[in-house]
Amino acid sequence: MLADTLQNIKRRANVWTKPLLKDRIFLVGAIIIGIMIFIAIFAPWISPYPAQGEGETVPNVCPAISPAGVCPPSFQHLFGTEQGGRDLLSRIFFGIRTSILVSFLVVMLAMGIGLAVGLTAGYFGGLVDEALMRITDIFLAIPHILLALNIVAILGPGLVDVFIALGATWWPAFARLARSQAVAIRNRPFVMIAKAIGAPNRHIVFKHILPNSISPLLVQMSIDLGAVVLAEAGLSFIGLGVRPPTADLGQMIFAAIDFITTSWWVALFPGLFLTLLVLGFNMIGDAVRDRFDPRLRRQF
Amino acid sequence: MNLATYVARRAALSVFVVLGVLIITFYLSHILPGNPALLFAGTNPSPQEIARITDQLGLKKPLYEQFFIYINGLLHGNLGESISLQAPVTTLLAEALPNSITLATLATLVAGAVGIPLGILASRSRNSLLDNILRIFSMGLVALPYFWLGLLLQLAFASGLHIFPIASYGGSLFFISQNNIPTITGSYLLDAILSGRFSAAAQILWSMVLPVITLAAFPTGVIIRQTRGAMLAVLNQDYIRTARAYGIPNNVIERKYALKNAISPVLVALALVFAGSLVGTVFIEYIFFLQPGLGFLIFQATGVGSTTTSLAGAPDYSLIQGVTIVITVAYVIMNFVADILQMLIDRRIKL
Amino acid sequence: MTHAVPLLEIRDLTVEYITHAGTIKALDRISLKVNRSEFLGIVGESGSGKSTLAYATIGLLPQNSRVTGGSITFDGKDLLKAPPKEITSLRGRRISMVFQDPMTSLNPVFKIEEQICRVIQQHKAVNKKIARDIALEHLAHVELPEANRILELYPFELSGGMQQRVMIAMALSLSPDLVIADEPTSAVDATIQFQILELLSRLRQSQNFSMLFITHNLDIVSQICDRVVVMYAGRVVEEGSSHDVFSDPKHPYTQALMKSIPRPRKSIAESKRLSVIEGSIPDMLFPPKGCKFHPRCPYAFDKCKQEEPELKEVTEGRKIACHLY
Repeated sequence: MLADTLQNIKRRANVWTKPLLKDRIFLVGAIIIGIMIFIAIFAPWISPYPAQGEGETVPNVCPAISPAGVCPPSFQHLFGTEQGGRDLLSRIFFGIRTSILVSFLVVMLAMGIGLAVGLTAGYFGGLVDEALMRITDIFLAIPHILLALNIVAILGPGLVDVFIALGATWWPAFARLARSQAVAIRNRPFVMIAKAIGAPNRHIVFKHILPNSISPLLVQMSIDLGAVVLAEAGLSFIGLGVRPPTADLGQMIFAAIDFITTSWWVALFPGLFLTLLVLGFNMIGDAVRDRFDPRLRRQF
Repeated sequence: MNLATYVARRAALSVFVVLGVLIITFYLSHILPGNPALLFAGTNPSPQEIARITDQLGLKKPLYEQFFIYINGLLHGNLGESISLQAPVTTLLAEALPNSITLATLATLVAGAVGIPLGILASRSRNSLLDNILRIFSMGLVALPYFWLGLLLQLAFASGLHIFPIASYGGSLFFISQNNIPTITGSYLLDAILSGRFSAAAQILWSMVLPVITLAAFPTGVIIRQTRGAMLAVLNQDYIRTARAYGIPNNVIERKYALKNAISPVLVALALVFAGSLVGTVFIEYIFFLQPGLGFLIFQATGVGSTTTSLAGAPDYSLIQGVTIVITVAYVIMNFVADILQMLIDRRIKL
Repeated sequence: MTHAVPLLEIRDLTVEYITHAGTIKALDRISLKVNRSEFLGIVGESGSGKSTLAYATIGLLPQNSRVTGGSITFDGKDLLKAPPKEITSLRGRRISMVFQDPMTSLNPVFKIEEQICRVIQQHKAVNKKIARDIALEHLAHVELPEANRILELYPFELSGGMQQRVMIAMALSLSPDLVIADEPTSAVDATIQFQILELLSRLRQSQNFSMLFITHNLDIVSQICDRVVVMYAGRVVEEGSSHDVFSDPKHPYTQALMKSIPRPRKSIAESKRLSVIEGSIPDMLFPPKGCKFHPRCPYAFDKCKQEEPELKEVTEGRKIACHLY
């Protein structure tokens, strides 16, 4: 049943992918993200100092310049070092790893919750629909970062907690989309036929409604990835993100504030990579959305 | 349905949403693992402290009763006490709001003034070089993390080129008191203007340039994209074709015919951008040390840069809760405002 | 009439659309004439190119189209070669258009007054008051009651029929020489359709203009058009006076169209089965070789599959593009 659904989705996906590949913005974004994912996966192997990337501090790297170990770029350390003598480049690689890991997982979780809530609401309608949608509205009213902040404040910082907090923040948009899709599809002939021949609800939802609903959610997913990365970095900046010594781009930028006037590299490079990562995701999301937004009819 | 009914309906919905938010923030602290008392007790509380808080918040009572106590307190303007700052939350919020609202308003104005024209420009020639450049530019703006941009600007223009002051309203922590700026609205900038201290106002404004630019970057990107999208959607419509068929020149079509139709989603975006900027103050106010402010409060509430935060209640939860409620209410209000504006423009919605 | 200089003359016009999938020839060497005070009907199915013809005349072809040949001469001027400023000044003033769906063709956020007056003031140096008077005058011509009140309304507050009358009023407000109507009655129901046609006939007497009436409905054409041009897959297949073509259709396609018009009979016994034309219009990306109608033509023979027939004058004023003649 699941395999069937996946195959259906795949077939539909093929219809889109061809024209998308011609879009230059999509290509550039895809290349950037491709590189970033590569870095994320292979960080331990491609970092010049993997142990430092993971948090090991090194004493006396450049005692003359900085007792705290913040050293300017040099041959040994292409981007310099941050506090504790840790190689910045390696730290950045591991930071990218954290960002990508969290963002993908969060979006998956959010999409999962959103699909569950939205499809249920849309398919069953009535009171269930009303109740679920009101709850969704309330969650939608709270700005993402604030809600996540609240949750992490309660749960305490840490990777898992950040993951839960962000996932709990992003699902409403998916739920809304899933619901409107479900509502549109549940009245289609093929669904009614399935009901008439007595197919169980679960079967109908998985086999018929789900594959047809998935497209706008995938578009939304591509749009959200960048935002989630920023939110995660933002939380870390405030101090409520992943805990050190795990590398995190937002946290690195925060730590750089104390050294900003003397050591510009500690703030510049992490931020640069963070921006690039988000930009890559945004480019992909933008190209996907530009292609499939029904309002922007092709002028032909 | 007419105007009055619609407004009433939306207002009721908004109240419902706010109520929902209150419920959520309340229950979050009580349902998630951990002793709620710890959240409100501060760092390393003594057993007596915990007992006192437990009593004060009535934590031994059933959940719904606690909620009523909470709402009751809310209606009387009591949002609890901030542990870290030892002051009632309501007072702190009242102090912080005007300045943050000033920042957010300025940022929204900048986003609109820069974003809308650029968006229109991009929509004139879809997929042309100009359009693509603007698209990438807006994507770049949206990708920039607030905190990073703020630091960079600070580095470049403040400590580097010495054009703008590095931090604080007016450039120094003591500026406000030194210049005897009275408290009329609570917003330093407005108060300076209203009390006739124009040179002080100018300096305050000058010190706000970098923060506002930082705060406006993301919104500007959003507005450019929204405007472009809305204009493109409108320009494809039949009535634009009619206007062209009757010889109306392109610039008139753009300014009058298309814009009025396209402006509603842009207005909605601006309203949301305003509320979003309030959230953005979290980063800006800390980096540029603009206090008092909502963002600044949040920073203090979460234990500034505390990499050693433990679960022992170090986050000042009543403060966080208070700020969350305020900002969410702001969002709800702005959404409401955006809806009303939309209605005024497109008469069809009334019916 | 046959010796006077035509108001609009289209000669060998060819228009192509460039799409991701390939190039489509929407119009293939189309030639036709519209004389002064004449109503010319253009009949064809969707995809025959009739709308393209309308848009080409007024210069509003979409961005991915190319005029690859021919000329459009209006009152002596070649519109294809004229500078954009000249074309813009012609639109509305000398050539105006009435569109198919009035609901979407009128701007929803502006009152009627604003829309008509702006058109008038664009081409005539008059103040608001005079423009409003002109608008009122024309609204009265299209037999809209309470014209004053209508000016203050928004488009969605009017019914379909009223909206279309407003569009016609707008089209005639500057007393143009030529009005192009792109399926003006297709979006309204039958009774309104009839009223609009009647209105156009009456206006013809009082306002003195030519009309290019585009439709897929042969019946309508017979009611108000003097001459008719039948189009198929981007080519003209038959041309002649409305009366002649209607009573004696010569091209197989025209004949089939005539047969497929449902006609009520006196009793059910006399009713015939609705006759339809077999097949559908060709895929314009890969059009058939030879005559484009041959796959659906009951009389097709070998020559039809090889060679495309040219439009030939068979009798005075009557042209056919078919190898049968």
